[in-house]
Amino acid sequence: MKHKYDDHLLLSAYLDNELTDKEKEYIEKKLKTSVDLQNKLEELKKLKSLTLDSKKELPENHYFEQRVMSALLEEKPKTFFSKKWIPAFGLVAVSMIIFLSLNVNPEFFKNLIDTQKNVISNYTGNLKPLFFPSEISNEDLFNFALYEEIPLNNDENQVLKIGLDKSGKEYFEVKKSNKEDDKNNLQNFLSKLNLNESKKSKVDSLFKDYATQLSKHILIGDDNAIAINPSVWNLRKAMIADFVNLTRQLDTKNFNKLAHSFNIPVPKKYVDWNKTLDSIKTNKYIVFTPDSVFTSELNLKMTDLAELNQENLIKRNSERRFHRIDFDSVFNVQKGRIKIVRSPDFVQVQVEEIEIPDIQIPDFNSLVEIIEKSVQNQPNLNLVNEDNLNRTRENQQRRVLVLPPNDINLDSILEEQNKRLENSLKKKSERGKSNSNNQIVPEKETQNIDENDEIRLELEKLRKEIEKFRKLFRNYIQEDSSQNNHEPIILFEHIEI
Amino acid sequence: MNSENNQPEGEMEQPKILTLDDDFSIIKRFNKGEKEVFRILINRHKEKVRNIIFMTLSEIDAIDDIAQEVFITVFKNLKNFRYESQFTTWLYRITINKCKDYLRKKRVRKIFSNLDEDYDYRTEEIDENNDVRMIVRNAIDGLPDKLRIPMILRDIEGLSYQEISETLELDLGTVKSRIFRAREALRKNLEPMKKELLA
Repeated sequence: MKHKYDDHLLLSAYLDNELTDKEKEYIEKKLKTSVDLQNKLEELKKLKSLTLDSKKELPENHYFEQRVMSALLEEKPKTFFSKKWIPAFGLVAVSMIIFLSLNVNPEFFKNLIDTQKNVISNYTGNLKPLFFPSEISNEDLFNFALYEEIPLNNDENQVLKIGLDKSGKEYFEVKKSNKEDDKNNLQNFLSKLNLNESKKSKVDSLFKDYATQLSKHILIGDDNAIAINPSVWNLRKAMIADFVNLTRQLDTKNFNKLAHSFNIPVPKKYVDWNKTLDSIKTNKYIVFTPDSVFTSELNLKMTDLAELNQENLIKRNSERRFHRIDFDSVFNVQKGRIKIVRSPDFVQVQVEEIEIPDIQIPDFNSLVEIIEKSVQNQPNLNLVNEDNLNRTRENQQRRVLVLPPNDINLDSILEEQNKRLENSLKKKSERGKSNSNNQIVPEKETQNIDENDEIRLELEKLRKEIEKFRKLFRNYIQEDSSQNNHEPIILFEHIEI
Repeated sequence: MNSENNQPEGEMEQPKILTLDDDFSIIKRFNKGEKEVFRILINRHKEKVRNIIFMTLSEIDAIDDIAQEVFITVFKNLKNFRYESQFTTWLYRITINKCKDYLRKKRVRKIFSNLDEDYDYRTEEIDENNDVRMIVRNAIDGLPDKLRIPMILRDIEGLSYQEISETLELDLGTVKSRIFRAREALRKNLEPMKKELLA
């Protein structure tokens, strides 16, 4: 028996190529004649390969190096005394305080809870959207849908990234944009499709819906609190899905031509993902404040917010800055856990097990490729890594928020937003003027905007035609004067009267 | 010390001698005061360290905390590094020791806490995903640490017996026998599924 055990032990090492020449010679000789050993070797091979196959893939941690370096930088030499005794003194002190408070003041805990409630309402009381719908352009929304980034502040080139890493973990990040300027993606893509004005306005109204949605998902407060609705990740996916649905519906032929080689999934029936998303959206926001993190139910009425005029918006532009969250901690929030880890370049907030509504939105992996193809003549384009899109749904329970550790300057972000708002208000009033000239009295605001857009586009077209006419006319005079032959001039070829 | 140490400092930064950037030369630079090169060591070895922790603990939550502890320990002790064995052997030894510490603490904690707190996500995956990989994984996780760790280092991480012996500070003979015993124990754990798995 012992002999057999030894042989099997040798076989195992033989399999690993770890025998001495002598042992190897011995076992190979024995293997030739023994069926039992041959079977055992096969079995060991199988076990070895099963073990190797059982290896689970661990997603790479790109921030790990920064995390370690930052931990090293911040590690302070501790004296023996502080290391060993401070926690003990602390514990004694805390128990003394609790003990005394309970004796002296039985209301202690009740007060403590009330204070906590007050703190929460202080932070959540004045939350307003980071973007108002009018402040987000269609191009911004489209780029958000594609690249997960939305510009916060053009001067400092800061963007808010709401993304998923390779393993499918969600995260937030406020960072400097490292992408080249990629304006006009949407315009370029739409130009590949044959859309008339009314179809274009349908696309516009889709984006308007999403602008409203997005503004509800990210809120900021006077006290430098940021609140994020966890369904914002779904929102981005829904936006791509809806955009694909709509554009395909509007110009099936050209869309299919574009999508032909990219395996775009074709849903059997049309689903309005925006509405689906709205119906299951949670009101529970994750609120990040300079000194705490918690979840809170917020009921946001867009009608109330719409009443905010520009004056109120300027009030937002106060002296305050967003303080970095400068603590490493784990917070237990209702039904979840939030872990904060610092590093020199950002603060990472991992949000675990927060309830996030889950809907099955088709993953339009190939849309980015289509856009890439359709705008490939644009030299400055830089597209996201496809790996980001081919993620699994395994780690859906972990959410990560990343903020840069340097104070985020909310002032400049707000200034930027105010500028945008001013511009959009200006545009609106200009549109209003042209509107009154044409004596159209809209019944609803959305209709008003749609029709204004139509008029604006018509005017733009007319302006271009006039310019073209001028140019042609100038050429015609020149050519005429040099007595050359010339082509007949076609004027107003696109104008439908 | 060695001939490469005599090179002028400016030359050390030239990309053309990047081939010299093995672990030893990086450690030498570190010990001469270039603390910044520690980043290179982290980046070069972080995934292997994280994977060893992952395979040893089968727990995703603790990986980065433990890996961070590993590299901090390395950082503090690199000045005492003797260039006798591979840097990786030393690194993996620290990693395995940190894992053992963690497992020990966890066992102590388990005695004092109820089961809910230490919910084992492995069982959840088995219920959901009843496939071969999961069954094998579960069987491996059921092995005692002293058998499981050498087998994982060999069959998954691809270390040689010599490296395992240095990492775990065991005799070569012990490593050989533990790996074999681990395979035997795994075979026994998989016995009910023998037809499907070992056919």
